[in-house]
Amino acid sequence: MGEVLLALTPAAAVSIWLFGVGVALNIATVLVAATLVEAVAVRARGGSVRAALGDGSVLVTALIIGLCLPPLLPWWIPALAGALAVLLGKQVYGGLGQNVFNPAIVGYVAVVLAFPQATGMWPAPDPTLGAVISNGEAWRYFLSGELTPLADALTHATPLDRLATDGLAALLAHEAAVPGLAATGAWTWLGLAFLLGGIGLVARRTIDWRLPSGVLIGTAATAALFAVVTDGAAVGFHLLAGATLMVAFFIATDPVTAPVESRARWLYAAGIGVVAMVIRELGGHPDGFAFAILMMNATAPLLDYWVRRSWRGTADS
Amino acid sequence: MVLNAVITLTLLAGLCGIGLGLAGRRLAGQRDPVVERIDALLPQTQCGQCGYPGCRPYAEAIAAGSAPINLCAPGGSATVQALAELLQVDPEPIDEAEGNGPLVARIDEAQCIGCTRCLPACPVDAIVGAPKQLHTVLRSECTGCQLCVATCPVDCITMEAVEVPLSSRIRPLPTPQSTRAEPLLRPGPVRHPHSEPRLGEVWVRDAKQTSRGSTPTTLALPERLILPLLDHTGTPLTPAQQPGERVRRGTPLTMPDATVPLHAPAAGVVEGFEHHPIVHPSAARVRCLILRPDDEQSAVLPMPPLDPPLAQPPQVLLERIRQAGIRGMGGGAFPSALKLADAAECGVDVLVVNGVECDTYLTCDETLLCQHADEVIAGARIAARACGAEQILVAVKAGSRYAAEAARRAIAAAGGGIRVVTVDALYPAGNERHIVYPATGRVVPPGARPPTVGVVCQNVSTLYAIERAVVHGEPSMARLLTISGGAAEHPGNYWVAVGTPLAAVIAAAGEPQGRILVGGGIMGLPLRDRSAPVTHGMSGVILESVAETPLPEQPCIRCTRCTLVCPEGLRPHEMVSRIRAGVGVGEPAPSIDLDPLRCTGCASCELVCPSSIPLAGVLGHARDATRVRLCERERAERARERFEARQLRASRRKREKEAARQRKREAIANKGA
Ligand code: SF4
Ligand code: SF4
Ligand code: SF4
Repeated sequence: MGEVLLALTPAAAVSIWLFGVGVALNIATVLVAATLVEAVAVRARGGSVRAALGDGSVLVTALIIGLCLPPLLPWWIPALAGALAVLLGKQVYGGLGQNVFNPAIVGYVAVVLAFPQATGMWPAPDPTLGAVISNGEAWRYFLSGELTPLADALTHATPLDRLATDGLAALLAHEAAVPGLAATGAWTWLGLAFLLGGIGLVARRTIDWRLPSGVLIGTAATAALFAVVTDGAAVGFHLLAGATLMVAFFIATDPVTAPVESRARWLYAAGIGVVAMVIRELGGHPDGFAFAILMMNATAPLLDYWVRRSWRGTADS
Repeated sequence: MVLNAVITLTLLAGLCGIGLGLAGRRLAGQRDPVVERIDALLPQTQCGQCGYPGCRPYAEAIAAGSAPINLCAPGGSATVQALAELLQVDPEPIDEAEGNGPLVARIDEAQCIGCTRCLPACPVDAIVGAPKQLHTVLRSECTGCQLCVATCPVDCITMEAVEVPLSSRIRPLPTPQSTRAEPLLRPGPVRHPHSEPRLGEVWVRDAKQTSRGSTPTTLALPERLILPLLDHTGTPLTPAQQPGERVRRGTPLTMPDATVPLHAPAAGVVEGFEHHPIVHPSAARVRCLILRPDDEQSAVLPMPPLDPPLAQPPQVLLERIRQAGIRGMGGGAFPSALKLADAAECGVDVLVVNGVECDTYLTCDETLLCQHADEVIAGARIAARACGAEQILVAVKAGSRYAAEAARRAIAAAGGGIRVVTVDALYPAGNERHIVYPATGRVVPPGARPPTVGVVCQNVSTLYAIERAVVHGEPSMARLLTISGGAAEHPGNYWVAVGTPLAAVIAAAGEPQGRILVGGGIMGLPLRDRSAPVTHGMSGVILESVAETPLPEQPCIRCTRCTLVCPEGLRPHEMVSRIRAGVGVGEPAPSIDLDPLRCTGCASCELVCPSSIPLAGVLGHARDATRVRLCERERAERARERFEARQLRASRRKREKEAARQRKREAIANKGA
C-alpha cells in the first residue's frame, strides 16, 4: 500500500496545483470520515482496529476519492463519500479482501448520484485559479455550502461535459481558442501525473501490467471504432481525458475486485475500457469509467469461472 | 398503463415460475439417493449397536425418518456431525459418551480353547481359527465392535486401545499470530530484478551468515536421551531391550528386522518406555525409549567395516545402510536403504548429491561439505554403487562458494569423474523434485518422484552417514544441527546425539525471545514442548528474535502472488478460504489445482504473501484431514465388503442346506413310493 500511496503523490500534487486548496480539503475530509467508519465497523465486528487501519488501504481509498471529486464541495459530500465507501463498499462484505466492488468507486458513485449538481461543477483547471477563487472563499463554501460569488468560476465545463452536451465540433472550436496541449487542455498534466505513478508501480511489479494495458487497449480500440463509425472524438483525447489513466493504473488494478486469472484479467480490463467508451460516446453521463468499473467488478468472479472452465474442458463436468 | 404493468409482471412471474419448476425437476433427478449418502457416512463397522442389523439398514431407517441420527456409537460425534450436516438438522449428542480412541480385539492365546464361538459373532470375518486350534484376530480388519467379547466362554477376548498412528493425526489450524515485526529484518522473499514471480521461483534473502563459518562443536550428552520408537510411516517399532538393561554405544535398540533400526547414541541404561511429546505438526505424543547415558563411554563399534567399500555387491551395501538405521537427513527421514533400493529398481543412472540448502537459516549441509567433503564424496560413490547410478552430480547453491570449492578439491583428490553444478538461490531449489531440472536438465512430471526420470537425490548429511556406516561400521546416531536465528547467542553448527531433548540444545543456544522453529526458517515447525527430542531428520533449530517473528495476519487481498509462486501449480488462497470456511475439508478436491494432497508444504506461498497468512499451515491441516478421511473411507469400504461377503456366504449356506433337506425329503418320498 505504501508504494501505491507514493505513486499517487504526483497526481495529488498536480491536482492541488491546478485546483487549489479544495482538493486537499476533500482528501482530508474523506480520510477522516472513512477512518472513523472503518474504526467503528471493525470494532463492531470484533477485529483489531490498529491492524485494519495500519495497512493503509483506507488512505488509498481516501486519496482516490479525493482526486475523483471536483475540488470545490461542501464538506458533507466528501464525508459521505468516504463513509459510504468504507461502509457499503467494504465493511458490509466483511472487510478488506471480501468486497466485490471497488470501495472508492462505490463511495464516488453514491455521491455523484445523490448530488449530481454539486459534483458536476468543475472549475477550469488553471494554476492561477487561486486568483479567481480565493482560498477564503473555497473554505467558506466548504464549510457552509453557499456559493454566492463562486458560481461563475464553477460553470466551466470539462472537455468531457462539452463532448456529452454539445458534441465534438463545439469541443474542438472551444479548445482551438484555448492554447493548450491537446483538446484536453490542462487536464493533460493530471493524466500524465497518473501515468508517471502508474508506470512506477508497473516497474516495481506492485501491480499487474496486464490490467492497465487491458484498460488502455480496450479504451483505445473502442474509441477508434467510434471515431470511424460515428465520428467520435479522437483516440488520444479519450486516453487523456477524464479518469482514463487513473482508472487504468489505480482502480482497475485493485487485486481484490479484479479476477485472478491472467486471461480473465485481460477480459476484465478491456471490458472496463469498452463499457466506459460506450457510456462516454452514447450515454448521457460525461464520464463512464466509474460505472464501467462497477459493472466489470460484478463480472470478475464469472470471468474467472469461465476462463477456468474453458481450460478444464469437459474433464470435470 | 396500470393494466400494461400488471400484464407484464404476470407474464414475467409466470416465466420465472416455469423456469424454476423445470430446473427443480431436472436437478431433483440428479441428486444421489439419500440412503447411499447416509450409508457412506456410517463407519461400516456392522456392529449392530445402533439396534439395526448393520449400517445399511440403519441408513435406510434414518432416511425414512424412523431413527434418530445419534445411535451409532462407533462413529462417534464426528459421524453425528456429518449426518447432521447432510440432513440439515441439529446434531444430537451421541448416546455413549466415552469414545476414547479406536479399539481392537485381542485373543489371549494362552487361554483360548478353540471353541469357535467367536467366529460367527464377528460381522467382518476378522477372527481366524478352526475347532480346537488357537484363534487370532486380524488387527487390520477388526472394526472394534466388541461383539465377540461376550461370546467367549473363557473370557479370553479383551479390547485393546490401539495407538492412533502418526499418519492419521490431524494438525490443528494455525492460530492467528499477533506479533509486530520489522519486515526488513525478516529473511524472506526479495524481488528478482528481471522477472515476474514465476512458478516455483522465490528469491529469498537469507540469514545464513549468522551460523556460517565456525567449526562445528559437539554438544555434551544430556542426562536422558529420548528415542521415539517409530519408523518412517509412523508405525511403532518393537524395542529389543527390557527396562534396566545396559547397552553399549551403537547397540541396536530395536528388533533386527525393523525397516530402520534405532541405535543407542551413547552407552547407558535403558530406563524405560514412556509417552513423550515429539516434534510433529499435530503435537503428538509417542512411545519413546528413555536411555540414561553413563560415564563409561566405550568406542566399541558393533559392525565390522566393509573393506573395500566400492568392491561390495550393491545388496551388501544396501543391507549395511539399512542396518545402520540411516534415514534421509534433509528433513524427510525416509529410510535411505528403501530409497536407494527403489531407485535401483527404477534403473536410475544419475545420483544428485543435494547440497542445496534453500532454507533461509540452515548451514549444516554447507558446513559438512566444507569440512568433510572427502567423506561426503566417498559416501556418494557408495550410494551410487548401491543404486546402480553411473553418474554423480554435486549440486550446491550459488551462494555457497566455499562448499563448492571443497567439493571440487575432494573430487580431484578422489580421482575426478564427478561434476559440481551450481543452482540458483531460488526457493525451494533444495526440494528433491526441484533440484533435478537445474542439475540434470530432466523434468520431473507433476506428482512424480525423481526416480521416474532416472535420478535419485541424496542429502549431504545422509551421504556422510552412509560413509560412516560402510567404511567405519558406525550406525547413524548423531547429526550436525544448525542453531541460528536472531535470538541465538551462540549460533553455529553442533554435533548433537539423536534423542537429545531440544531443551538442552536451546540451553546451549541462548535465551529464546520469540518463536522457536525446528527444521528451518521457512518450513520449520514452531516448537510447542521443549522436551521433544532431536531426531535424524532435524536439520536446525531457529530461535527467532522479536524482529524476525511473522507479521500479524491480514485479510487476503487476492493478489494471487501465492498462485504465481506455487511450484505445484495450486491456488493457495482459494484453498485456504475454502478450508477456513470448512468447505470440503477431507473430501476429494473439486479440481486438480485445489487439491491439498498435491501441496508439498514448501511454504513458498506463505513466503510471498503480503498479508502474512499462514497458508502452508492451513493447507497442512487440510492435507492431514483429507488423508485421514480417505484412509477411514477405505477401511469402511473394506469392512462393508467383508460384511456383505459374509452375508452372501450365510445365505448361500442356508440355501444349500435347504436344498439338501429338500433332496433328502424327495429321496424318502421316492423310496416310499
Ligand atoms: S457401525 Fe454399528 S452402530 Fe454404527 S451404523 Fe453401523 S451397525 Fe450401526
Ligand atoms: S499471496 Fe496472500 S494475500 Fe495474496 S492472494 Fe495469496 S493468500 Fe491472498
Ligand atoms: S506450500 Fe503448498 S500451496 Fe504453498 S507453494 Fe508450496 S506446494 Fe504450493
